[in-house]
Amino acid sequence: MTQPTPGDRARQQYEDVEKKTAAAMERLVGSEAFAESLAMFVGNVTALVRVADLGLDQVVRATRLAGRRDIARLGRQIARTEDKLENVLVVVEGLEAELALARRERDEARGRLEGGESQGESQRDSGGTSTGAPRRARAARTTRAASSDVLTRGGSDESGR
Amino acid sequence: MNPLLRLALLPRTVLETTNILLTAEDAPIGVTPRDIVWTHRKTTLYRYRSSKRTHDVPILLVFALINRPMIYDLRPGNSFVEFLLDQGFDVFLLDWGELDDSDADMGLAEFVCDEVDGAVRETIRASGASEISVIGWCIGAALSAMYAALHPSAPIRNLVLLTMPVDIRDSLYTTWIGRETFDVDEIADEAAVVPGPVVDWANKLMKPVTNYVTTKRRLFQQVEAGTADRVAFQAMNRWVSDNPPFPSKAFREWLTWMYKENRLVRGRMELRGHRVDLGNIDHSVLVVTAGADHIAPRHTTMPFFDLVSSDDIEHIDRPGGHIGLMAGSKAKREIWPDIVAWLAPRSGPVPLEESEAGAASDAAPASGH
Repeated sequence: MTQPTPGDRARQQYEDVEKKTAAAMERLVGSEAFAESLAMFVGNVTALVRVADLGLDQVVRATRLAGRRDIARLGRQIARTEDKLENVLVVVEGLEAELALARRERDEARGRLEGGESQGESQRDSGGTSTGAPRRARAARTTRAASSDVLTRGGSDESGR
Repeated sequence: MNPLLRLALLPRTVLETTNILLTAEDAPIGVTPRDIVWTHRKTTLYRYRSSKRTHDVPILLVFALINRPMIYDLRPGNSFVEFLLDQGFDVFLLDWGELDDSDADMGLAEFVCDEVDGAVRETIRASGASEISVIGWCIGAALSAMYAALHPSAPIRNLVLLTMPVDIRDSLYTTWIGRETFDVDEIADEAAVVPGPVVDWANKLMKPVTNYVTTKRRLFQQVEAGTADRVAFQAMNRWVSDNPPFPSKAFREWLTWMYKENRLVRGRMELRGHRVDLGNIDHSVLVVTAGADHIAPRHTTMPFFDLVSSDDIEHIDRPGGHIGLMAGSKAKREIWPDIVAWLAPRSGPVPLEESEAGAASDAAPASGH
C-alpha cells in the first residue's frame, strides 16, 4: 500500500473540514435563531424591493411609456380572455362528442332501415306487406336527438367554469 | 497522482472545470421528440409517442411549480420519459411554462381545477384511452393528489406520488416559514411572482456548503482524475439552476395552507368551495419516498397512508435525495423499473385493432408540430 503524499493528506484534511462545516451549517440554518433572522431579512428585502419597484414604475410612467404594472394588467386581460375561450372550447368539444355519437346512431339506424327496406322490397317482390320499419326508425332518431340535446345542456351546466 | 504532475495539470483542470460550469446553460435537456397537444395560458401539454406501445393506459406526468418538468426527460440515456416509452407507455407531460406578472392570479385552485383538469381531459381525448395514470412529483404530486381527491370520478386509474409533502409540520421549511414573523402575505402582496432565483437560493440554503461548495469541489476532483461526466453534470446543473417564477397567489396559498396551517392533512383545504378530502382517493396508489430527502422527508409523506381509502396502495422507500432518487445515475436501474413493474399490470394491454392502427401510423411519415 502506498503512503499518502503530503498533498493527499492536505486534501483529506480539507475534505474533513468541509464535511464538518457542512454539518455545522446545516445545524445553523435549521436553528430557530437563523429562521428568525431569515424572516426579518426577507421582510426587509421585500420592503426595499417594493420601494424600488414603485419608484421605477413611476419614472417609466412619467415618460408616458407603459410600466410593468400596465403590461401585467394587459397580460391578465389576455389571460382572462383565454380562460373564456377555453371554457367555450370545452363546451364545443362536448358538443362535438355528442354530435359524433348522434351521427353514429343515425348511420346505424339508416343501415338498419336500408336493410329493412331491401328486405321489404324483396318481400313486396315476393308479394309480402310493408313492415313499417321506416316510421319506427325515424321516431327512434327523433327521441335520441331530443335526449342528446338534454345531455348537452346538462353537460355544459355541469362544467360550471 | 504525482503531486508534481497534479500541479502541472492544474491550469488544465481549472480551465476544464470552469468551462463545464460556464457552458452548462448550453446542455441539451428535454430532447425526446414530442408533440404539443394542448395549451392554456402558459401551460402546455406535450405528448411523447411510444413506437412500441403495449399498454392501453397512458401516463400523465405532473411536476412541481418551482422547477422545470424537464427533469422527467433530462438527457438521452437518462430520461424517465424515454424509459417509459421504451416500456410501451404513451406519455404526456404537463409543463406549467414561464409564468410572469400576468399570472399573479394563478392559485392552487387554478392549477388543480383548470390546468390539471384540462390536462387530464386532453390526455384522454388525445390518447383515446378511457383512463390514465398520473405520476406527480413533489408539489406536482400534492397537486395530483388534490385533483384526485376533488374529482373522485375523474378517469384516473393509477396514481404514482413521488416524494410528496403532505404533513410538513416537522421540516426545515416549516421552521423557516411556519413562524409568525415570516410574513408570506407581505411577499405575495409585493411581488406578482416570486423570482425563480429566489426559490433556487432558498432551496440551496437548506444545505449551503453541499450546494455551493461540495458540488463544485467534487467536479474539480473528477476533472482532475479524468472521471468527470460532462454531459450528466451539465444537464443536471442546468436543470437545477433554472427555476421558473412562482405566481404570488400560488406561493401565498402553498406556504400558508401547507406550512403555516397544515390544511391538507387536517382536511381543511378548500379549492373553489370544495373540501379537498384525501379520503376520496380510492385509486391504485404507489407512494415513493427517498431516505435522504430534506425537502419532503419520508415522515412528512407517511400520514398520507392513513388518510386515503385505497385498497391497492403500495410504498417504495429508497436511499437517495428529493431529486436524485428519480433523476440520479442509479435511478434507471434502481427505481424506474420498480415503478414500471407496479404500473404495467395496472395499465392493461393495447386493444388489438389499436395496436395494428398504431403500427400503420408509425410506418407513415410523421406530421410535424
